[in-house]
Amino acid sequence: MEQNLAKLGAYLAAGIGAGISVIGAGLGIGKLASSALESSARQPEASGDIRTTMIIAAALIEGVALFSCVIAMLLAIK
Amino acid sequence: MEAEAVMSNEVGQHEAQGAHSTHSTEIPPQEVFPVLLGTLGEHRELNFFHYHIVDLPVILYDKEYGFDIYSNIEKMKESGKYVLSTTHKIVKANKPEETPTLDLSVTSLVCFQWLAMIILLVAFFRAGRKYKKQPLKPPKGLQNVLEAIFVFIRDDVVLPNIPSRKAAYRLLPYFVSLFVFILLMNLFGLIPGGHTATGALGTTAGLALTALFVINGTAIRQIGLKNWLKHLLGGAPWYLFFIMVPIEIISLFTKPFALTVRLFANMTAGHVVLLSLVGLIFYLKTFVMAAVAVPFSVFMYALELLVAFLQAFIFTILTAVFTGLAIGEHSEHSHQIEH
Amino acid sequence: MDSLLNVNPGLMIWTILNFLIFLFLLVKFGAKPISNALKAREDYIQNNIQNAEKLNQEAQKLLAETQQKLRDAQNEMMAIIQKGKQQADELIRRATEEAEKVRKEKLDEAMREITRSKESALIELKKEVAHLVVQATEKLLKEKVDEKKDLELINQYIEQIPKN
Repeated sequence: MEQNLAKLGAYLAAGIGAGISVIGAGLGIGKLASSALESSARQPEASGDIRTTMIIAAALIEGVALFSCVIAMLLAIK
Repeated sequence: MEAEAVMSNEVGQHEAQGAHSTHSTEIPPQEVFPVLLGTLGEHRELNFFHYHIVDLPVILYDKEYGFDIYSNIEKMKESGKYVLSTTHKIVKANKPEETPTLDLSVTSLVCFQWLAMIILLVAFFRAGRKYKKQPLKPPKGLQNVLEAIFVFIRDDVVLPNIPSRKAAYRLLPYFVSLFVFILLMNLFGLIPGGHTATGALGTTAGLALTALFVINGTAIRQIGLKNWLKHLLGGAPWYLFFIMVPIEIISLFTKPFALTVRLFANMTAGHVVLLSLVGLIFYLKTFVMAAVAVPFSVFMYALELLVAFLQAFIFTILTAVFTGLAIGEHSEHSHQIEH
Repeated sequence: MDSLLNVNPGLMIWTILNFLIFLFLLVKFGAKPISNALKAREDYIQNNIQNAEKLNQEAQKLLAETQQKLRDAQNEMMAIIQKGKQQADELIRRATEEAEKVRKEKLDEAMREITRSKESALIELKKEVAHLVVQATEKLLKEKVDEKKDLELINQYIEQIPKN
């Protein structure tokens, strides 16, 4: 019974944690993309640099989100 | 991905583990996802669809027994030193709790690394020979692809991020090989029957470890050990060292760690989604699900193709960025001289 | 699933080993030749561009020279034409002068001829008149005797004869 409860808690935590982290990453990348688009529309000649920087920043944000997904996975397979 | 082929392949494997009976296609629905996701890990044999290609050698090191090399897992069992546990782990025969100190076995992922290496080396060798023969001719075909990659890494990844031009040119081969190696390993996971070597933490950790050495080795070489140690202070006054130094040391290791997890998680997540979509068909046992799952998995496959390129690029460029950061402003003067 | 998150040290060691071998072989057989060839090609293109620039400059110089020559030739031509025109004018002028002179001479001669003929005509006339007078006088003499009066008359007559 107690073990089942612990498992339930772990699954719950994994699901909720993954969901919240996805919300955060989605907001972050969305904001990043919107401002990158805006700035490259304002300065089309700098769009190459902006794109590269955007990809790097997106990767960093995504990395954090993936950390939490890995943590969620660790919880889920506990 | 390998979809149904993997499905039936893996089904055969799992059901008949050890017994080597060739076919049994029925598995209970609750087993579908574990079986499918089991394809993502490492295996001790190479399978292509239904065909069993080869058993891979098992290389074990143990403090007690020393090095042991067996041509396949059966030979290992025959030797009597090690056995397979119920969870398919190699354990010592006399002490079932203990695993060997180091398992250096050639696994399917190592094979796919070799495959990537061989293909790339052949390509580069041929291109290199062509360059030696006629260096002034415009490139053609394969040569053109390699040159495009080379120039891309040089002009868009290494040179803008590493402040010292000399160090940039010295590190260029490292970044080129990092990029093509990761890219090819990523792409192999998208070929039916292939495995993604970068979809395992061991591979990505190994690559990130080389990145760690490159980042700090370059920094020490460029700015000297003294300045590098000063960097550990993070620019704070010396009396804060007991706060700053641990933080900086941690950040030294989080960068490669982030690289490791990012590449692994990106490569694995897509495959998990793909396999889950395909698995839904078998789980629900209806063709209606296929109408939904197949278009969506085609979309996911295209996304995976993008991600394969993107993650190889990101791993490379982040390594370059970190190297540039580690060198820091100390080589500013050399930077100015070149301009 | 469990094995997915395990870091397999064996795989890690294999990866590092593979990667280092790959890097070594790539540097030896791939990157160096490509790098060298790229540099060679860049140098080659740079050289070509420089060469082309030099050639272009030379061509510009040549063009300028040729144009200068052309201009000179044109000037020369113009000068020659000018000279020819002048000569022609001179010729025409001289010819005109000559013609004028000849005409004048002819005219003078004609004038002289006319005067001479006039004079001779006058002389002839005087002679004729004198002759007539004499004849008249003879006639008169036959009629009158008063010589004094006659002579007076005659002289009067002679005076009255117009000089020309």
